[in-house]
Amino acid sequence: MNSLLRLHTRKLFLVGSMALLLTGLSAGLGAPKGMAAIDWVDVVGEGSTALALVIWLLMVLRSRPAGRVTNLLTLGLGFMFLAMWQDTLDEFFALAGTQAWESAVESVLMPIGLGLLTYGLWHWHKEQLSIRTQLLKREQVFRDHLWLDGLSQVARFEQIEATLASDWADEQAHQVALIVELHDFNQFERRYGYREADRLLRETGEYLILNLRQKDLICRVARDRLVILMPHTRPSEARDLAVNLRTAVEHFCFHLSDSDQRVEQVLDVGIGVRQPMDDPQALVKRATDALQSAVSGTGMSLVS
Amino acid sequence: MRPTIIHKNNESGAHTRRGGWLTAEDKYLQACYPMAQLLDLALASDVPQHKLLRGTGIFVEDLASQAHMNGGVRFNVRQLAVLADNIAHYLPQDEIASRWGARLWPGYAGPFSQALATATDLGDFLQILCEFRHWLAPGLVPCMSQFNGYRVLHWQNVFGLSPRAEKLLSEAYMTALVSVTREQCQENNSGWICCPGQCDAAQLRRMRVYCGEETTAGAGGCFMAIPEAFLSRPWATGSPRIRDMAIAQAKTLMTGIPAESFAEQVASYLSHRFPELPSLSDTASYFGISSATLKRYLAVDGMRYQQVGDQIRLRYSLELMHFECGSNEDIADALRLGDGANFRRSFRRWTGILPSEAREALSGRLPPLNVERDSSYSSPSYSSASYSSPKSAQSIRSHRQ
Repeated sequence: MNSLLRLHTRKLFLVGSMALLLTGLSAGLGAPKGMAAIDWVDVVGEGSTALALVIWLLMVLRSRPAGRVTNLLTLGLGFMFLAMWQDTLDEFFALAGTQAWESAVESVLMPIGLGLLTYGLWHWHKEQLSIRTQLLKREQVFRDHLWLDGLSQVARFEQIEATLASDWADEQAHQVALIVELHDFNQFERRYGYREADRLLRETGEYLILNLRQKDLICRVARDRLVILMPHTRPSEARDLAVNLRTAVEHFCFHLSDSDQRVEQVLDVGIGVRQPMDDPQALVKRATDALQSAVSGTGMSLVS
Repeated sequence: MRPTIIHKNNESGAHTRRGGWLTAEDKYLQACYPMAQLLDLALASDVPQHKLLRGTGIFVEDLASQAHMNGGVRFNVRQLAVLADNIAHYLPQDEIASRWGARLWPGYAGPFSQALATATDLGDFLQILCEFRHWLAPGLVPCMSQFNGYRVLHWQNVFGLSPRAEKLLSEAYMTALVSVTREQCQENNSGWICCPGQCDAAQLRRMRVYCGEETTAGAGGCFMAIPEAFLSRPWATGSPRIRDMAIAQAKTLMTGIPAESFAEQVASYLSHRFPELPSLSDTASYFGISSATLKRYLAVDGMRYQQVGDQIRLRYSLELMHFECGSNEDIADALRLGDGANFRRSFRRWTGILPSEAREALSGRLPPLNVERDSSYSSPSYSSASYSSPKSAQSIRSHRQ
């Protein structure tokens, strides 16, 4: 079972047992309709709605940790599912007119469910705004789950491509692009192994995010190569910010697992400056060229 | 000299068979050889283990230390190919191939790795790599040649690997070679120009980070090239004495295990007949078997006779195209394909792209070297002939004459 779904077994048990109870009540108190009396169009319409609701419920529970928002969404979707389930059941069982509970289940649970779902979505909206603040430097104006990088927890290069393509008409928007790499990361990986290298990548990514401004965007190309976009920033400002990043990484204290040994890191930075006839690829290429000279030179280079 | 063919006994396996050839089903790879590293990387991902190992016949328990007592658990190329295919299928965005490659060599393959680690220069390293190719780079075969001041190395699929598995392994082996060269030369620029064949933008971007900015897709094949001058630069960790001892030890480990596959033997024969492509029955009679048997032996490794012939012709046409600047007519003439239009059609059938597109992809990326050029073309050397001491185009030509 999915690890997040395991957190919600009680909720699932509650909804499942309520659905079974309703099925038992309908079967026990009602009389089965003959095949000729069943309206199959209603069965398909109401049954598929109930099925869709239970799928939504499972998807929500599979992707969320426990908490108030999850409880509200579960209750809302659960009540709506039960109302539709009862609606489907009465296509198969004829209940006497005195069975008021049946219409109450259908008519009362649905609005309660909708109300709880709406309230839950309101809190989910507020939660998203809080998470968005945390993700801002990783995604800025685009979000696509396929672009998330599992290794470093920053976005993939596609995020940079989409951002550059959308803002390229504004010449002042992206005057510079930075490409950074850890000096001798390959040696580090060979010496300390994949696990330590992964941890170094993750921690360096987080550390660089802390040292960037709110409007900057950072993404990973491959290995330890990261691209940073600094919107509305002049090359001289970018150079100062790059110096700050290098200084910050020099003071970054990376300790090996199960050891007190500290491994110092040096950041190589290439800064590409946009030229009038450039396209987004040309800007990134210029930054890559700058990185090549930075690696073999002083650790920082600007190519315009 | 005609090769000695010993008919396969399916039950005997690679350990006991004397002579003959290596097949994709022969279990000769110890787990500590490259596969364990690949498994480590793949199993660290979020993809469930049973999906990654589906169809491989590999169980994690096989990798437990007790299982290796007396060299008990061994894997074959087919298992590696299925594992590579699964990884490429479930983790298409991950850098597993490149990351595996970056730490692949010298590696942990006992004397094989020791021989690599003590190579005196890149030329020496390549020679060891080619000699022990099925242990150090299982699944693909490195084929070397020398053209116009460049050493060219093609990664040839002789075990009928799926395109996904072939792509993953070639990416890993290219990265491995570049990574070792960089480390030994202590330079960021390894000198290698890598052409990984057709690949998407994400793979190309990744390979440029791992293998250098000169990496180019869509050049028509899967090969890499380096100026000859890089081959003789001495490596700091080189030690001829230890290397020779390691090679002797490695050869002892290879005892009883055939050194090459049947497809390689057929390719070797076809190379010697190049540019003529003998008919299936001619080749079968050279090996002393019937056409149907030859086809069956090739099919064991998922290969076809035409495919082997096409691989040789494609390899040679790429070398003429990129390293000798041959025109379509020149290449058609050298390959005895009639005229340029015929060559264009054949090239498109082999690669899916036109020769002009392949030329365009690599244009300007190969700096011209000051080497005397010859107006005639040489025969490609293939298989064991090229693995020992690589010959220059001229020496191969004079040998043929």
